[in-house]
Amino acid sequence: MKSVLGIINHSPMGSSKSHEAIEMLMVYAAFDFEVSILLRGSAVLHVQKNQRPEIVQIKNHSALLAALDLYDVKCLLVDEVAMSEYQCEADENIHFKQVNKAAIQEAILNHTEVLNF
Amino acid sequence: MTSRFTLLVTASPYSRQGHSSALAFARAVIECGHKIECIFFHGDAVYVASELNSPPTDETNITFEWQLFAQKHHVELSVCIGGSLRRGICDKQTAAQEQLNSTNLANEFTLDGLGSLAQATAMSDRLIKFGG
Repeated sequence: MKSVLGIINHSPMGSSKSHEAIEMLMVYAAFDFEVSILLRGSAVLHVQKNQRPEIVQIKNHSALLAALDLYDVKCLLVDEVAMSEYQCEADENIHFKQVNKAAIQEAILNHTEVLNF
Repeated sequence: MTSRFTLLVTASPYSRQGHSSALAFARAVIECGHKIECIFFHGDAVYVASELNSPPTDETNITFEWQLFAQKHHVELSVCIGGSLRRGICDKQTAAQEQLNSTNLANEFTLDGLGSLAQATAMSDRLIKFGG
């Protein structure tokens, strides 16, 4: 069975890159790929609580991430170092796992396809 | 042994290197006797599918280069339909559906859903992404 790890490096605001990446990964999940998503760098801000993206006319990414279970996305991983660097306070509605460098390496090795966005 | 490749291009055509790299890789795949299952354009890469792209004559016309490659090697160029409509790229069918007055999808390119990328990935040995 093929699996996809989508590594997202972009903040939820400022570009559509992360939103379009998540859309793609959800489709992979719908087509029976085992999908995991890793948030790195400023992408950890996707799990920041109390976001108001409607102010800048952007869709609410937090709602999308909170619904990943419904789309059969296996797990959402968040780089613990970046979480700390960005002083990120997580939205309790989003289920994710904080991971260290070793766990990130393991995730990369454990997926047949790795897409870096 | 022959391998099957799917190429995913996400780079914007005229501001990033991704299309040139993808095209060079695609040529190498064919030259080495391997097969291309699908070339899929996503995100800002869909701008390459506009027939209105007209770079100066002393610059590479990457849209034309992809068209030549597709014609020569009978490879389908799939363009993400959602990303295309967001960015004003449409064919006759989508123009009719969305009640748009004109079309601009270049020859050899086809609007396609992300599902076709997933299916192509399932049938390929390797998925290679060209971002930027």
